[in-house]
Amino acid sequence: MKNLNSLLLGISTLSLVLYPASANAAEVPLTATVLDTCVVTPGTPGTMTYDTTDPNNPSFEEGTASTFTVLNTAPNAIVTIAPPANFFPLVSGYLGTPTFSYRVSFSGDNTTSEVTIDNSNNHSETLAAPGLNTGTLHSSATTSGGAFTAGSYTVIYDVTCSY
Amino acid sequence: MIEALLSSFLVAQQIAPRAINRTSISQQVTFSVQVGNPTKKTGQFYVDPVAMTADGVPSMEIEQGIRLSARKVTLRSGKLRRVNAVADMSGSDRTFFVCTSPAEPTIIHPGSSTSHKLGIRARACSRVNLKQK
Repeated sequence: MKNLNSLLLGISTLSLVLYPASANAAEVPLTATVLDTCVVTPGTPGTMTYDTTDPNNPSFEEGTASTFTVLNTAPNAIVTIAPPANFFPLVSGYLGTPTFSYRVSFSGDNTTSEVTIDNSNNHSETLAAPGLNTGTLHSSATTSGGAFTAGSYTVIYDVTCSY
Repeated sequence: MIEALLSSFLVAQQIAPRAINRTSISQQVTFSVQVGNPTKKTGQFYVDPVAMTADGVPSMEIEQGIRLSARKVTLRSGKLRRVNAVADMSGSDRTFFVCTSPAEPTIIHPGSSTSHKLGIRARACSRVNLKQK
């Protein structure tokens, strides 16, 4: 019995130590509202074409575009496009530093003119009106390493929509 | 016969930079946010990844203005997920973002192609307002 009392006392003490704030928390009801939502859905993957026309300066030229859709329920949604720092996954034997350039535009409820972004910089586009839009993105790449080693190269761009 | 095989091997090696696997990238990050019975100090968020594909498992992050019991929460397709969060409601209403983190894309190599793949990895956010009744 003495052991049981000691155990209960210990548990009570431990509870106070672990949850000191719970005893003072005021239960005031709050309302929560989802103000707006923005959804990005990847579409058809695109391609890049390896160009060996100049063996001293090979590059990935633009192939077909990669597409994605953006559905924003409120105005002024900000879509940020970020090129990767490297290929994904890394290609065995390739030790250079790639530089990505891309062209992107939107069509749909917000139609934007095409912009070209060089040197692996990010780009943000504000979609002034709510609605459904399709983004179209072409990409090319060069390397500091002088050559791309043999392998399968995949480039993944991050597209984020927020407010 | 051996010469033919060797020849094929050498050709394959020579065209290796061009012989690129076809890659399929699939990810959908549609999700809805519901908030249930929050109190002054704590609130619970119900995240419903209704349209998320089974092969993408993004995590969810609370962007700002609120503390989450676990900073990152893994979402699985079709599974309603309850998240405990703590908000400091002193002073004014709070507005915060619930965002999915980009998941690693699913890459499938069904065969060879002459092109390298260009994919999109998506991230989406909902804005939630929390105020006292």
